[in-house]
Amino acid sequence: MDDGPFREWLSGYTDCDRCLEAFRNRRHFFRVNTLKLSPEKFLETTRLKCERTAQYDLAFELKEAEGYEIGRTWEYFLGYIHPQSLPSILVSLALNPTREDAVLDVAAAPGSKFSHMAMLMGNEGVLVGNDLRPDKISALFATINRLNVLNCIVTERDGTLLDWKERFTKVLLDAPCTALGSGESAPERWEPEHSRKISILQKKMLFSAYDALKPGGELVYSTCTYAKEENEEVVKNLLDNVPGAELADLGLDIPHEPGLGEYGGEFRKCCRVYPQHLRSEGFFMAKIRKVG
Amino acid sequence: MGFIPDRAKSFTVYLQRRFGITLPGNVGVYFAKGLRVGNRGLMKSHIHGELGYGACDLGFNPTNALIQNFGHLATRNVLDVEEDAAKAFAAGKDFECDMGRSTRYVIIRYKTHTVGMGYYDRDKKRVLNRIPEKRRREIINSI
Repeated sequence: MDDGPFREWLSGYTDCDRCLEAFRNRRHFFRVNTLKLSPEKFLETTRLKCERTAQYDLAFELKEAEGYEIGRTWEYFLGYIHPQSLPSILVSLALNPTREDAVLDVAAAPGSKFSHMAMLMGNEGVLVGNDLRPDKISALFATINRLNVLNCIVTERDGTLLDWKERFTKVLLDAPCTALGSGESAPERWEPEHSRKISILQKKMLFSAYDALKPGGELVYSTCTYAKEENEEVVKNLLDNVPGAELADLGLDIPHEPGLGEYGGEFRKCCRVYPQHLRSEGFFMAKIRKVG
Repeated sequence: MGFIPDRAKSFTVYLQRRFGITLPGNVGVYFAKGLRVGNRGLMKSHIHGELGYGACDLGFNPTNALIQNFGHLATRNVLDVEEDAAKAFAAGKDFECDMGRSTRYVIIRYKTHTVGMGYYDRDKKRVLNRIPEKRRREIINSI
């Protein structure tokens, strides 16, 4: 297949060769689930070949991971660990939910970020996980059961029509996207019009998610794709149409590129993580504050 | 959705009597489309949805999820097994065993880890596997 058009498109964002090479050689990560055991106990018990990451104490890189099925280990079966890419782990850290928060995850399934937030909240507070499709809700419950998430309520609503006005102190919208940062098949799947189409849904979801946020609350918008139509443009659309919405610093000390300046200087607060930064998936993150 | 103290309380008493499990103070059992286990603060949120996860099936039989997450607190009706048996059980196999004359639910434990829920059938002298099919795994490593 001729991946020339995709490479040309990707070169508009970052160093295409480095990006694709890093993705091909990406590392495999998991995080320790402190809802089941402490990291000390985990290290004492496990025989997994792993190394703690510099970015987060509870995230580990799996060594000699090629062909290794982490889903068939005791650690996974018992809910002691959860395989998750490092940028995906960082999304929940950017939102930084605490025990006092009421948190909404608009598109929660299959529950990686959701269960991580429960962990950060120490299974206290209230964590609402929403998704639309029953098969995805079922995957979410499998994660909840295995990882012992106890502070959660699961709902099945259309993410564009949530109708929860100012109920939550923190909201995560990890939006459905073209996933060009997280799949081997990105060059084959890439279509110029696909991002444009899905951004209509993303914009509606972001309005709905923002509406659920209490004044003074914070929302993290994330995708695992590079297209500006699905990232900066979606955020810009909200900022332009809602008074009181402003971008905030993500507070993450990680290698990244800032958001695209063509949308305004404040977009430097957004974070574009390409595979070459952490040798993992590509991600986009923005934090939006609702001024009280 | 509502809090039915009698039914929830009966279940927690059953858990205590059958397995010696006392749930931690911040964990409650609620009636909301069946009994569910979750954080005590959830009821104050007034958000309609499914709270926490299922605590039991019909007849007060604890779910495998509840047992896998709180089985370490059990003091009774626990069967400690060796690695091979634990692996076989995690993969969904039953196993033969003589645990006496009473048919009952038992917790299968390997070292300090709760593998899952079993059902001892005194007539067959077997522990039947109660791990849901989707949760079963062919384990490849040791812990």
